[in-house]
Amino acid sequence: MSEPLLLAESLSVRFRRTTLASLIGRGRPDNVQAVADVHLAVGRGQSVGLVGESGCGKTTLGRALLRLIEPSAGRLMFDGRDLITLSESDLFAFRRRAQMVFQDPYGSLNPRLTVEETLSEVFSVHRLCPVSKIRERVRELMQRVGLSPDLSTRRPYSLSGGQCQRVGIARALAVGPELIIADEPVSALDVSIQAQILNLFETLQHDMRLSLLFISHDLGVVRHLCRMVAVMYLGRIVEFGPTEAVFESPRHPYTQALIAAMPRLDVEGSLPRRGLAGEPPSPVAVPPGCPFHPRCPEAMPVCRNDPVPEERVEGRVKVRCHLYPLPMHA
Amino acid sequence: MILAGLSLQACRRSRIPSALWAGAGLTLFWLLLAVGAPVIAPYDPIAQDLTRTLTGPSLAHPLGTDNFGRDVLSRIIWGTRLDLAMGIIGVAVPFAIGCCIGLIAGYLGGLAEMLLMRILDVTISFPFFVLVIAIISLLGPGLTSFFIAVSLVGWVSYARLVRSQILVLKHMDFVQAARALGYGRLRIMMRHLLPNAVVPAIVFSMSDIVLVILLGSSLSYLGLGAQPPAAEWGVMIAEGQTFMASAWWISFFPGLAIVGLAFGFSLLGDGLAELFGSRE
Amino acid sequence: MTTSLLEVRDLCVTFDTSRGPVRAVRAVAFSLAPAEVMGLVGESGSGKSVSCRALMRLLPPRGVRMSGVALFQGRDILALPEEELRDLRGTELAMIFQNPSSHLNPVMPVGDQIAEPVLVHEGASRRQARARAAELLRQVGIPDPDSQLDRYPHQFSGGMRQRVMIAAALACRPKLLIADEPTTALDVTVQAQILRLLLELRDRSGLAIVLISHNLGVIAQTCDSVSVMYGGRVVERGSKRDVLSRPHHPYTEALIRSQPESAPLGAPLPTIEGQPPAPSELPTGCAFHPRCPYAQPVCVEEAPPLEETQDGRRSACWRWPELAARSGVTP
Repeated sequence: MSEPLLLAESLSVRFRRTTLASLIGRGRPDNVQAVADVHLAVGRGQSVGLVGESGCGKTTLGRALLRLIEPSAGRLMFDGRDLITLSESDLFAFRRRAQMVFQDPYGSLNPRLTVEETLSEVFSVHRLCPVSKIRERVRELMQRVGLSPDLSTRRPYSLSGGQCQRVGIARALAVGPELIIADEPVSALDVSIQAQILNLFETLQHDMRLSLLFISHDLGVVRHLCRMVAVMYLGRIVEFGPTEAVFESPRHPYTQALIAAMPRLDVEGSLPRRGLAGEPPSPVAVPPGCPFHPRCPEAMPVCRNDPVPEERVEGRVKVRCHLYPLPMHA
Repeated sequence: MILAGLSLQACRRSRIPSALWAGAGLTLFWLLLAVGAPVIAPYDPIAQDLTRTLTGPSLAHPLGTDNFGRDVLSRIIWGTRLDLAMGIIGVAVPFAIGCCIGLIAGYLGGLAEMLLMRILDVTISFPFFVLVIAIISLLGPGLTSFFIAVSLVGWVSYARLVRSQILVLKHMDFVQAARALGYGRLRIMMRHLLPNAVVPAIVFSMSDIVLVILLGSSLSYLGLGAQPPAAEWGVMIAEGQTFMASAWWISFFPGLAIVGLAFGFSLLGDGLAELFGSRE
Repeated sequence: MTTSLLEVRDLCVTFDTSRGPVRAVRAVAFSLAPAEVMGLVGESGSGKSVSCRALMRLLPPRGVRMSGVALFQGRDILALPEEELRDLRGTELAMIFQNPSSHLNPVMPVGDQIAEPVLVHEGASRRQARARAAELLRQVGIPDPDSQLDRYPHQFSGGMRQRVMIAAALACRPKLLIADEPTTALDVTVQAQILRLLLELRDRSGLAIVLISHNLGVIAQTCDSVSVMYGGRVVERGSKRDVLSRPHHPYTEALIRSQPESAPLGAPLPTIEGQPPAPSELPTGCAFHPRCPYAQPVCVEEAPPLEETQDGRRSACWRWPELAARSGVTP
């Protein structure tokens, strides 16, 4: 099996907020462990879903993987090269190979620039083609994402949400990346438009052999689009494996709860009678031991005291849970 | 979101606020007056005619003459240049300085921000007028000193406005997208942040023009700004002060002109605020 | 059949904008029985939120024209004078919204916000109102309610704030609750909790609920009946089971098909071309015709009326018999 395109090992992101108290030596700075000890791999041409609820750190992780936020610990490799120690110029070159699509269709575009200006800027900054050819390339790009070329003189406020999102995707594609990290790209769109954009992702992925990390809170969408799925809770990946395997028999109690709570279009169905109590906690106050134990229906005494040290493999799925025994060493 | 938009439109009848029309019109009037002074003014503003001193409004001199026989109307028309210049330059320079400082402080953060904000804090803790007058006294009275003083003190509000906008903008997705695309800091600041951050500063500058015009003419009245025989309205009011009882027109019409100019910019500012506010 | 709690007929809402009148809601009709949960489904621009705000008379006073009849317990609430409506609002009729943060007063303790309708409408004493507030917090599942009464909204999480808003809405025991996308901004596990809570409240007190949502899964799990809206009109209405398994309108059918769970893994999702029209740019005739795979020339000229198709179901489509004859959509 070939090496993954993107590999994160023991990746952590911690935010420190220096408070006035800590500056004068009284009290410690606020530490928010947004991402803790994450192992994640995205293969070439593979689509990986990253799901979780608010506060789980999936957006922070997505940005850290592109070094938009600096990781505080761990290893990050892209195509075999260490990302964390990249020089300025190498980082610039990396930006041509991995891009991001954002959640808010309107917020992800500069309101003062037209579509043409937004897209041409990418070509000119990265010198992707001679200046005279930029217009043509922009047209091609717009067609590829399903935008009519006469929208090129419009500004975001006169475009629909779906159209804005297509511009965002076009902008990410302009550099010809091998990896796209999509952070909740369809959450802000109408249902019928969601389907169009999802199809677009699928087509692009297929035509361009793109690797895709698809971050979403919508399990239904991830199930449809991604071959692999990672479930995140409070900065940790609690389950990772082939989508069908995870959905058919989820191992981690949190994954089980998420799947049970998914609104299903089943006319005979009704709300599950019992579900997870409480709310997703804030990463400022992480419970000791396994962070899920306060809400976990299967919590054991060990869960309260010991954080789960490493992943256990159950079939093709990796889980971080005390319920699953560590592999026996021969 | 659609509901909000429809409701807003329902409450607003025309697209361009009436204040904007009125303000723009009035301001345009003063601009034309200033530009066309050589052609429009009937007399030379500093030409004295000692045979016709202190004459009231008449056909030959619609706004009367002052104690040197100079035509008040012509002086007012020529004075438009000075007062308009005071307002515009007195705001443009602080605007430019403030935007740069706010931009740098807001985006770069860290040491640069801390340093610039402390300088700002020190400047702002002095009363505005006191500081301006102190600087003018140091440099000697005159319009140049006035511009220098206002520039050194007035940038503060703009810096704050721009910085607070930048603090919000820099976390927005389109800025993150620019970073993800590898755009350099200068490009992000000038092309993506600044154009989006200046709007509140522009709206503020309109009311600032009013204040600076009033400041400038007040200082000139006190002898610290424009110097006689310049046909500046504040100077004219000062010169006419001793004749308030007998030749009221010497001070009255310049006063009216100040009000008119300030009113024009004020309306313009209101209109712009409404226009930008409704676009949000 | 049953005496309706709410019967809406011919509801129209037109906004007077600078670019001319915009008909956001066009002849909407639906009815609701006591203890019935009706789902109101639609995408942006469908008019679902505007219709409900019109019923509660929460639209801006100027620049908006409303017409139609809305019989609530026999009285036309659209024609009521303001003071009588104010008595109804908060007591018999209540509404909760999508974003609890913007509908809760940030500088008022939650206990006071819940007690306020009781004080205002029932003339209770402060102590009685406070006791009722604590009881309501308990009913909506907030632990240790007495200690929570004096806390402020920002001290609660999103799901908790939504519960507080529900408690305030239920303070005077309304008969009808309009819930405008109450769980859209919430996490999926919290969403399940809130939906469960709403159904419990219905079971316990016979509360009728209008649940506005764009999420068919949510509707499928909670509602008894469904009204589908498009382009300011109700295009299909019926029991949940009927509408979601055998839709009688092309839009409903297309909406169901475009859900990710409908398509086999990896296959492209069947999509609806184009996008939902803005109320200011509605096509002629049937608003769905530009995107409809069944469109015919008559659809461009004339909008089909909402008429009865089969036992209590209604559809606004010229070709509903063909749709009714199909075996159904596999969700």
